[in-house]
Amino acid sequence: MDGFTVKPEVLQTAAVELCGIAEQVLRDAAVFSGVQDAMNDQAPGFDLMRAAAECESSWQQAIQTQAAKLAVDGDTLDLNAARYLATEVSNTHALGGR
Amino acid sequence: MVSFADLRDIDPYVFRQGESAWFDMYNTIKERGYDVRRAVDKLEAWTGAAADAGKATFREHEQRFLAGADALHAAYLLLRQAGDRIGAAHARIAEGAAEVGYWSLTVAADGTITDHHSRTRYGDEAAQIRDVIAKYQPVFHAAMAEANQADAEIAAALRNLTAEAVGLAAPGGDATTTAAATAIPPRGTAPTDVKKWWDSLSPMQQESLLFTRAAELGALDGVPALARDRANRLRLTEEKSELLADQQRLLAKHRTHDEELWLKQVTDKLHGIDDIEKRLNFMAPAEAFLLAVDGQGNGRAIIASGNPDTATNVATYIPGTGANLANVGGDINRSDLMLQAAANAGSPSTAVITWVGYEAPQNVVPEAAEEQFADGAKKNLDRFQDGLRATHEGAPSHNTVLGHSYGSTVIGHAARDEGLNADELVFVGSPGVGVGNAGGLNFPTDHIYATVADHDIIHMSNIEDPHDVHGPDPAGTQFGAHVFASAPGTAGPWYTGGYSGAAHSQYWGTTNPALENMGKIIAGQVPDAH
Repeated sequence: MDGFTVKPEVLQTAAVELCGIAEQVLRDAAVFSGVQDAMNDQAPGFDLMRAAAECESSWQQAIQTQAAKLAVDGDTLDLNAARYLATEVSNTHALGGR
Repeated sequence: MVSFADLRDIDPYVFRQGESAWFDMYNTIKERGYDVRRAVDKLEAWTGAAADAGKATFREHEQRFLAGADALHAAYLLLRQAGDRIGAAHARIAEGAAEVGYWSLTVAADGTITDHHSRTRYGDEAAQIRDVIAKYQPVFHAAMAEANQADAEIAAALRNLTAEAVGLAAPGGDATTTAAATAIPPRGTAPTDVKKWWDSLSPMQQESLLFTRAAELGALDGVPALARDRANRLRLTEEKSELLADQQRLLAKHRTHDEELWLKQVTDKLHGIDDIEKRLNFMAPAEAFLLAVDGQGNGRAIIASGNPDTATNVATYIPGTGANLANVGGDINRSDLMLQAAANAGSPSTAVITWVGYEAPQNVVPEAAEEQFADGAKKNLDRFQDGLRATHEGAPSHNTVLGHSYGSTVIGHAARDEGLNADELVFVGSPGVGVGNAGGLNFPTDHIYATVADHDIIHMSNIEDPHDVHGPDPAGTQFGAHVFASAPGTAGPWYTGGYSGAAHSQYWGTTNPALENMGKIIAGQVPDAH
């Protein structure tokens, strides 16, 4: 049967870790945010600076979206692990009561 | 099109700065990809069809981070190339630019040199000018051609590296993107409506919004404290990053007087952000929640010591003149002291919120004598109090709004004009609260408290004068508030009548009865009368 050799707590720990990575990605992206805008002010005549700002903005959004997806998938793993844990506990009680 | 002036005036350091930011981001995102890999590797014992599908999902995340990192690395290389090529072109024209400037020659956008004074130049001077033009014209044209070519080539290459161009942007209709596009209620929306809207979202929508629209969400009264905190911690990182970029840029150049002042303001704000970060990372005397942060103007911040959505007793502390992002650390410390005082008075759980949610006067004369700052703050404070009610879980909390100095004036205006949704009002060292007596505050007078230290210099602003815009001292006998005890404070010199500025700031001294009394009011008890 699926997952029989892994403890639900291990899945939950991994889920929390993955959600933590997602949050960290977002903080990383925030540090990056606006650096290019600040530089554009100093080199207004250069198209490459506008292109770099477009590129930055596009990656900012892509990274944020990717982080959100990771967090949602991490949450899903956590929820499934919690269900798995509840089943284990319930089975233990049921079987232990026999 | 790059003009001669653009090339002459560019500081090539700007490309190095960009190059370094992109390199850091490349390294970071690559590392996050490896973090995901390491987390999934720990699930070796998880087997079966569900495990395969789950692991494949997370491996795809890993791959997308690593592919993104590759593109960021390519962008870094392009900016490095820009620094080299445009920096070289800039260096080529430097000597000639100084020379043509010396001779008052004009250089067109394309680098063509013209002498508009040729009719008045004769003999040796005319010959020298001809030599200068002959020497530098080809140099300028060549440098301009190279700069424009580099600019066009690198711009095109960068546009081929956007997330969309390399196929790593979320497609239209993607569930996360769609959720993130959910309309967010505008800032002035009633907090009860905001709370209903928030509760109507799926967990995925809430998560996506937190990740993609933190700035809007973090400022919205009616969004629960836990979610606001997460959004604003991201905002804090952004604000810090922008201020650091400003600071680096200003430090790298020769500064005008105004720029010196700006640099000081930026540096001070960064100190304030450091103080917030320290408090957020420290769990005592209670976990902290960042409910707002904004670096614009003097800067604003709202930090709760303790969770206001679950605490039995919730206080909002509004500091007065001089309150801003830079000085917020001292105000957070006062909130922590009040939280401890409330706990000592028997409060089972407490949150004390430092509310620098307004543009406070920054000097006593003339700003603190004006009403405009209180009028500008009253709606924000009113909505914030409504927000605390809307998001509180379980039985309603006992809410206190406490203002020091001009902060008490803010409370007075908000209560008088908006009707504050709170249980107790407390005025500490107040210059007046905008009404002649407690009855004008649109609030049960039994629940209005005030104190003023005997030596507080604020007494000097509370002379009996019908033209005093802030009105009488709420701790005065005629006002009608419950006056509670505070220590007299440090005495000032004879020529100030014994009043001192020190006494104005000593209410939070750990041996001052004012602190114990504030704790009692927050805890829902009766303070010791003066």
